[in-house]
This record gives sequence, C-alpha cells and structure tokens, in this order.
Amino acid sequence: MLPLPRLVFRLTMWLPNLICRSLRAQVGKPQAWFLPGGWV
Amino acid sequence: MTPTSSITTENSAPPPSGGASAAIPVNDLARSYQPRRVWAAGISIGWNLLLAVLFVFTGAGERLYKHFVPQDPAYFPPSFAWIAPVYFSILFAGYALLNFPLELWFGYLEERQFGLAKDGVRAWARDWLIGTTQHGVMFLIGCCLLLVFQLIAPHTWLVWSAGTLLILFLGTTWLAADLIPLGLFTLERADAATVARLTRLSGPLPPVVVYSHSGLREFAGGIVGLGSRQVMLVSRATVELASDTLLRFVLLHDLGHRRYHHNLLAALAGWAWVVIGLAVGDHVIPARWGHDTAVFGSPLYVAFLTLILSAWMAIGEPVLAYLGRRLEYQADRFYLRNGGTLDQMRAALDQLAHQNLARTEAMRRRETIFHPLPSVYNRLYAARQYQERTQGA
Repeated sequence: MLPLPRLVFRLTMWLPNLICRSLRAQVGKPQAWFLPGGWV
Repeated sequence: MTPTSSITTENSAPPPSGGASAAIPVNDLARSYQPRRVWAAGISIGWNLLLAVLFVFTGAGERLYKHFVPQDPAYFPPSFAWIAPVYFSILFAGYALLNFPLELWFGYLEERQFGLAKDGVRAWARDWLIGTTQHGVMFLIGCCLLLVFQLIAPHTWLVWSAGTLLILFLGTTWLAADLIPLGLFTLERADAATVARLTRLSGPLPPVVVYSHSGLREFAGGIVGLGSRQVMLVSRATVELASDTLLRFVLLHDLGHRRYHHNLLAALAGWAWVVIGLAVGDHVIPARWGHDTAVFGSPLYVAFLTLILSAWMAIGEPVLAYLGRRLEYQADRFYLRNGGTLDQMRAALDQLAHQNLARTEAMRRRETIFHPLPSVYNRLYAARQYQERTQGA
C-alpha cells in the first residue's frame, strides 16, 4: 500500500490547495483518490 | 551527477548472484504509457499554478470580491458573512471547469487510446462529478474554517488552524475505511474462502474488504485506518487474478507498513508540511491589497493562499515522494525478514508490473524523483543489497 497518494489527497481536500497532485495521484481518475493506489 | 552517470552507477551495481538477479523483461506498453502519466501530472500542476497566478496578480480575485463588497471595507464585516462561501464556491467551480478538459483528456481520452478505459464517457463523467463535488465540499469547509479562525482569533489563527488540521488529519486517517465515498466503488466484505486464502499466506489480517470499479484493472490495495478501525482493502482484480506468490508479497509488505505505523507517519509528515506552508503564507501574503481592500480575514486571503499553498505543495512533491519511497523500502525489508525471498519478490514484482503497467527497466534519477513508489528496478536492487548484507552478517 502507498500512504502518500492518500495523504496528498487529504491535503487537497482540506485546504484551499488546488493543484496538489501527486504524480501518482492520477489526473482525471477521481476514483483513484479515495483508495490505496497500485502496489507498483 | 549527470543522468548518464547515474544510470551507469546503477548498472554497475555488484553483479547479482545466480538466477536471483535476472532482470525483469522491459514492458514496452508501460514504457510509452507511464511517461504520459508524468506529463499529465506536470501539465496539471503547471496549468493550476498559472490559473492561480493569473487570478491573484491580474486583480481578478479582487474584482470578484469587490463585486460582492463594493464599498471596499478595510475589514470583512460580519454582515457580509454569506459572501465567503459564495466566493469560495465560485473559486472552486472555476477551478473545476478549467480543469475539466485536462481531466477528460488524460483521465479518459488518452486511457481509451491505450485500451484502458472500459466505460463510456458518461460513466466517466459521472465519476468525475461525484469526485469533484466531494472535493468541492471539503474545499468549502476548509476555506471557511481558515477564515473563521482569522476572524475570531487574528493573532493565534495559525495555532488554531494547525490544531484543527491535526485533528482532521488524524481523524481521517483513523476513520479512512469509513470515509470512502459512496457511489464510486463496489465494496464488499471478502467471502470466507478469500479470507482463508489470504490469512494462510500472510497470517492474521484486519477485516478484508474487496473493492471494484469498471476502470480498475490494477493490483491495488492496502491497510487503511488506525487501531481498531483498520481494514485491509484489496482490489477485485487482485483477488481474481493474482498468484499466491504475489499475494504473499503484497500482504506481508502491507503488514510491514502497519508494523512501522506508516499511515500515521505519513499523516504527520503531511500535516507538518501543510502547517509550514500556512506559516510561509502568513509571512508572504499582504494584510491589505493596496490601501483599501482587506486581505487578512477576508475571502481574498484564500485566493492568495491558493497560490502560495499550490506552489508550496509543488515544492513538497519531491520531499514527500522521497519519504514515501523510504517507507516502501522499509516495508519490502519487512517482507524479506518474514519469510519472503528475493526470487519470490522478483516474480511478484514482475506480475505486478505487467498488470499495473509499471516500468521495469533502470530509469534516470530525474524520472524517479517525483514518484512516491521506488521503481521496480530500484526495489529489487535494494532488496538484493539488503539480503546480501543480512546473509553476510
């Protein structure tokens, strides 16, 4: 599991931070924000 | 160090012993697909930074504010309290609309070119709407909280904000399994046979939940939540297709994350980074805009903060990604210490890379610096080093 993408997602959620996207946070994949990312 | 020499360094690593070090074959599809995802992220970050710069420095943010508060008050009057949520909503709606083309292109149209989007565009748009709406609600709440703290405690608002954020971060980390939005996934408790299979491979696990989505082909999952609220999430594709070797690797890897409290560490690291960003913003953002327009304690502050925090988080990308990679290596070592072998890890990573379209060849340092996961090549190299060290001892 990868903690960071979900962490970055949380930052995006709670703060007026509009661009905070992990490179793995999957632009255009809203469903990828809420759950653990791929294992590699 | 030049990229070339960094490659050379990695390639000149001690020759692997026996079959344990045979390289994983290069996946051409991953090689053309992954750079596009990196471009997608880079373009998205650049585009949003540009939007924030234009919004603040062309005066558009101020004009929008004065549209609601034409008298130019030097403070934010309570009678105009309704303006804040409206202003933030317009801000977010603008962000969402101007990002829509990028999201559609990189999230759907390009996925179709690679044959990865199985849904129609309406199904994608529905997901986008659900995700964006929930993002917007959280954005609104966060902005209003910051503004409220500035108004009721102008001198200590940073402390109040930091404290509230800490509670939010820890609370959402603790309850992560309960906060998964409805409507995006199918979530179901794993059946007895699946639980028995997973437990046989890894030992005791938290309650296992299988999730699926028509666009989700990846082997993905992990333990979310803290303490008694922990849940092991596993994607449907993993349960259906993964070999025992792969499952054993990812389960023990995730138990390693749990053993070393990585969820908690990541939440605290992110919280610290954001609080520093807020403090930086507090120093950089002017109290007034020109001579007459309030910035501190007014919705305009949030327009500025959007810009500052966006830049701050862009700077934080390599830092947080570096931390993320350290956590992954630590979880890999946990796997190796608890009965995993290098050969099985290679087989698992091979299968994972194939399914998830991950690149397996040695990559230049600049290609890995933003990734919160180490490359497959580097993971295997680190695992081999670790095994040689521990076996030699």
